[in-house]
Amino acid sequence: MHRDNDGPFGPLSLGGGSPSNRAGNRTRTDRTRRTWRLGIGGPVGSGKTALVAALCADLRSVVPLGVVTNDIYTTEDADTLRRLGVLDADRISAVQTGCCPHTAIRDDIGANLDAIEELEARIGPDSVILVESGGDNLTASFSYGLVDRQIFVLDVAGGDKVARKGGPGVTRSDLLVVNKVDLAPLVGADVTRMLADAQAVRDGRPVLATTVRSGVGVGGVVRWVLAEREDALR
Amino acid sequence: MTAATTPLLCQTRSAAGDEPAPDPSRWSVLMALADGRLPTGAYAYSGGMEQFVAWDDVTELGDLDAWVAGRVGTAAPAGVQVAVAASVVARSAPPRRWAPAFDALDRAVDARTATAAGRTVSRQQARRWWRAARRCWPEELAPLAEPIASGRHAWVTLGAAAGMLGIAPAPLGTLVLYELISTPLWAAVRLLGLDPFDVAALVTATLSWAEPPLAVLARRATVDALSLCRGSGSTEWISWSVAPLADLAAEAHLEREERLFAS
Repeated sequence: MHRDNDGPFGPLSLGGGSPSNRAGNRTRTDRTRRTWRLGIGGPVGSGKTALVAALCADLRSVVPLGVVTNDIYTTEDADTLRRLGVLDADRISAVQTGCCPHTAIRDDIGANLDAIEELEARIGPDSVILVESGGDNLTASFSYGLVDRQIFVLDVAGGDKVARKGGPGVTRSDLLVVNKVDLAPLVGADVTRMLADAQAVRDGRPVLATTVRSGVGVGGVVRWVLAEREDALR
Repeated sequence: MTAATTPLLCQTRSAAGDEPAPDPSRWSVLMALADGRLPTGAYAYSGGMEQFVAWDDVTELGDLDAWVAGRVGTAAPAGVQVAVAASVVARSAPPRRWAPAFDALDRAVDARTATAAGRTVSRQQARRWWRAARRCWPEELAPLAEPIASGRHAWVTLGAAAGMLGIAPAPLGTLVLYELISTPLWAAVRLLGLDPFDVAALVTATLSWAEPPLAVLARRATVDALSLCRGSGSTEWISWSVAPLADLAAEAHLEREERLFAS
């Protein structure tokens, strides 16, 4: 279980409003579906798999969980999750993305839908499926035909200018996570400025700062996930 | 042949009188089905190319001519015949005959696909095509939902849907051919860093020589498939040309730890 504290950047939550306001009042096209799907995207090495593992550790006792990974070349992420033992192996599924990880989560979501439907059949209704994208660039984002909400993960080691560069993941994701804030002094990144830059382009959508590896800020992400799910299923 | 026994052929005819032609309004359907942007997962398949590249059997553009000729000579005839037969069944047979006829065609594909990996990929592709098609043409394809959604092979599913949507045999044959060659050839661009214009030219050149004989085969299949419509279930007329190495490639590919593509 992670350590949950807010770390050196205060409450770490910028933006807010009700879940439905934050998510732009998106409604699910299939209201009969009880499974809630969360996409987790972001550049290579930003901490997506670590966040998925942390969410699994915190959510598995609360809701039935499954994970779909979209590695570019291997099943590394799925293998990592299996090795960490955060979920039973049969609740983790990996899809191949034919050199096009962004296509698999946005333009042509069939492979991921197949994997999700198989997991849903195994896990049952009222489950939460986490869909982790392959590491990609700032233009990658999930189709809302695939997921109900999406988190985009940046890390400060990628440079504090990344949030300023924008792109759909930074500007339109339902939650932006700025990870590895503990590394900021080592790489010369200004986290406060990074958070402010992100907030400036996100039209009130929330931003959370985390150091997932040591559990800092993860509690805020978990609370956001549960609130969004509850709101979507209401 | 009479109109009573071959309703598929008689639906629309060209000015020449004998040449079956699709309903002109259905060209848009054909274009939509052939569009690589239709979300059917095509981008994630290599049609075996990833494994042949891994084996160093395909290393450069010059290797692709022979490879694709082999694909046309082995997988295409049966693929075209199965798809056209499924389209004839969907258009011409009474609904009570659909499931047994599709079962027979499924078994024909099973018998011509040597490995479990190849059969699995085919059914997976079928599922993705069906998901896209039923969203695009929900009313026209609704009658097929039960007999098709149970998990058919790719060409059975595509053929049945195409039949319900009014695509004539020869264009359907071209669609099958296009899927069979474009998937591995475009995967080769990504796997080998080839010039995409070279590969586009190879795709079109292959279509130009392979399309005419397969169109003849497709038209003949409409007659051969009539026994399925009558419930006899015979599929012996479907080509037995197969490529064992391609099936072994599918199996080897599935065992690989590192793979970019789903096939």
